Amino acid sequence: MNQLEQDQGGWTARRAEIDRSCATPCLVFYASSIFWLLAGTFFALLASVKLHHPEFLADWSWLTFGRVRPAHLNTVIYGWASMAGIATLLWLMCRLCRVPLMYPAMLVVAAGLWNLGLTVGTVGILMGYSTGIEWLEFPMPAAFLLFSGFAIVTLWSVATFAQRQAEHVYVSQWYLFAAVFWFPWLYVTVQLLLMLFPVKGIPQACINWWFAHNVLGLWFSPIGLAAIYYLLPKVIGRPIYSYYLSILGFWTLALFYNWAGAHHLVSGPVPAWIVTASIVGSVMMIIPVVTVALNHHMTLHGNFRLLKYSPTLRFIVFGAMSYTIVSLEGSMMSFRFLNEPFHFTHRTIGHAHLGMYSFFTMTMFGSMYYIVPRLTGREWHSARLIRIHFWGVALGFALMYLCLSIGGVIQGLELNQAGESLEKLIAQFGYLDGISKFVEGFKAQNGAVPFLEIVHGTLLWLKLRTVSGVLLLAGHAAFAVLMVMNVHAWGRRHIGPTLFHDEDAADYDRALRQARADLTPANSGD
Amino acid sequence: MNYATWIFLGVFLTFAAAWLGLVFFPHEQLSGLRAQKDADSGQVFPPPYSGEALYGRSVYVREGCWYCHTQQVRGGDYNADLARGWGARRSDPRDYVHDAPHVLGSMRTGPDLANIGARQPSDKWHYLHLYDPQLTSKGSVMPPYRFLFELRKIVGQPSPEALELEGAASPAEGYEVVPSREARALVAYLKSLDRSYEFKE
Amino acid sequence: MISVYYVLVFGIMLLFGASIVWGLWWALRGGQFSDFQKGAQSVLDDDEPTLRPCDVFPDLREEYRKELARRANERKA
Repeated sequence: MNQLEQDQGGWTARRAEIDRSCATPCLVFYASSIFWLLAGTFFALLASVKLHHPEFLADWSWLTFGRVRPAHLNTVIYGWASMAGIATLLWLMCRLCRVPLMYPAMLVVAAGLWNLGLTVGTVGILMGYSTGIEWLEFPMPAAFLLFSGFAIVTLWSVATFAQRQAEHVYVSQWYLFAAVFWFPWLYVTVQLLLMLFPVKGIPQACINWWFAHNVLGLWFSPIGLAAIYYLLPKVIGRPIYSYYLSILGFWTLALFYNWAGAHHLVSGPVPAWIVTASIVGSVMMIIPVVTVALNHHMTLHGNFRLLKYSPTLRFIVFGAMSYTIVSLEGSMMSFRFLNEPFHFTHRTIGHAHLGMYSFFTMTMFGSMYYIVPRLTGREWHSARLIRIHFWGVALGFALMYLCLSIGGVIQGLELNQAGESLEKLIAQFGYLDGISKFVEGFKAQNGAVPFLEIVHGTLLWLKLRTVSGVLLLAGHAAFAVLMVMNVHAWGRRHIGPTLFHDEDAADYDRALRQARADLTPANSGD
Repeated sequence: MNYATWIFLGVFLTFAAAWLGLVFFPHEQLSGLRAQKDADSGQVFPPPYSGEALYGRSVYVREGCWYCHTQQVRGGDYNADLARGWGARRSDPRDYVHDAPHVLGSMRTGPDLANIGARQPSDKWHYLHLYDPQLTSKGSVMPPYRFLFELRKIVGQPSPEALELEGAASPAEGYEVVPSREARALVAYLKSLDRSYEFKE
Repeated sequence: MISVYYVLVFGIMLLFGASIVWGLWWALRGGQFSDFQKGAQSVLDDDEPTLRPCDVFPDLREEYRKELARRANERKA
């Protein structure tokens, strides 16, 4: 603490230097990520429309549903989420290690490799060169380019960590450091075993799901949580409620998450012990999730009014709450009696978006609202656009999640012997009686609902999902405009190294410092 | 500090265990599986794909059929895979020994296809269904795969494999719709999907 | 052929697992887990200190400042 105070002047200058050193590579990563987000949203909308209007753009082979869907998944996963994640990771790493980013130009090269890989991969999928393995559809050359780009990111993270000037390793650094190793480990393993020399049949499915699930839990989740653990205290000006719990949460996540993947194969043609082990791992995930949820909630406790003011906080809290919900839902859905009826339905797509969108994407938006002004030295130009962004994506997501969950549950019940479709029963008996007869029918295992009736029942929900996609696209477009304005200096210039409101700081800072001085003896032990 | 050793060992074993459990042991346990040869009839189960069917499988993978169709009949007490008639028995790891990439699938926007060859053996049905799903399954949300077919001018006699299209779907006078090589291979693959054989233990 | 890849992947996994264990060992030895209070405070410093939220919608700045002052007074009282 003393050393910090002595060093205060030096640290302010160094922090400005850190932000300057990160500016170019992080902005390149962020700008690319937004490009891929828009591309991915576009593919998503196409796929969504195709699911209820199969004749839409049906005569172009490169835009058939089976190619647009993986194009959506891979552009948002590797393009949007990973690139936004990498920029956030680099900036957080430098801030927390308190050293500038060295040779930033190399990271621009990494971004170039990554973008090239994505372009090759996406065009490859559309042209029909998909590998046919979910979450890994990019053909081999694209995977190689992605890996080369990532190798640079990993090396730079290690080098930054090795040079660090900060004594303490903050909890976010644990998460980030783990993420930069976990991702290449997963990626290399699957590329070796599935692409270079593919194993056949069921072991392939096990490895596939081991990867696809771990890439969420061991690559995206750590970055999202690291950002939350850093930004939450920063934005509300209060340390994490229980630092001990945050560390415990990290280690328990590291221990249990690995196992969760095979719950995608429940009752499938795999040895039962694999699935059982995976279910146990999934359920044990409750421990890290509850520690994180409790911690976030208690940190925020009493500061909920701040959600009104801070865009960063609003997105981050949305993300943090979604993390809790998605993880608990995931643990629950691994149980056999829920997994078997509902796993192969639209509900699973809803669950996946609750994780990748509502948790990770929202957290990345929040991080960008905090980080980008510090990189460009400019504030966001328009509060109205920020609001359009927030409400577009928040309402859009809520609608999408509800549609997919409700539609998926109905679909799951009908697929598994409800006897008669909900639609028919409602037409015959009205809503209340129709629904209760439907549930009774499922319980009594009344027999098969004709498949095309099930399909017809999902149409309403799929159409509403397209509406939600339009809302999301509007939000994303608003954000892209904000970003362009900020980078091109259409926003207001702000003075000083890193603070958001230096021009306002002086007059209210005094009052706050006074308040802080009054609180200090009670607040901290030292 | 003494039990630190145990903590470390625990951490390592947990990490190793997950990888061993989900990657290594499944491979150890299952990669030795081979197709079974019936001593009496000399037949092999599951039968290896023909060249045509393998080519069709690559079309199946390329067009992403597996995003909406699973190929697994599950056991378990909470689903109706068997009751729906999607297969005569639960799928076995041995059913997949020829498969790479695996196309187990993760969605049932459309029905399971593990035994579609047994359920729907008609060439004619498959071609019509691929050309325009509405012709065979009104209300389906499956995309039409017209790009796997050729619209040809009839020269001399009409082709025997031309689709029997009626009404609004039929091509202009003097033209016919014939499946491309890819469509023929895809149908060969779909028809080969028949896992109704039994394994001998 | 397959075994070569498996040995490779196995090796990577061992390396990875070992690095995790090493990380935990290093953190315990270095006293990373000895003072949680200090650890939690380490991201907040005199420039962006406790009780100084540092992010806000541009057009709500005035209102926000009043809210902050109100809260500061409330705590003082």
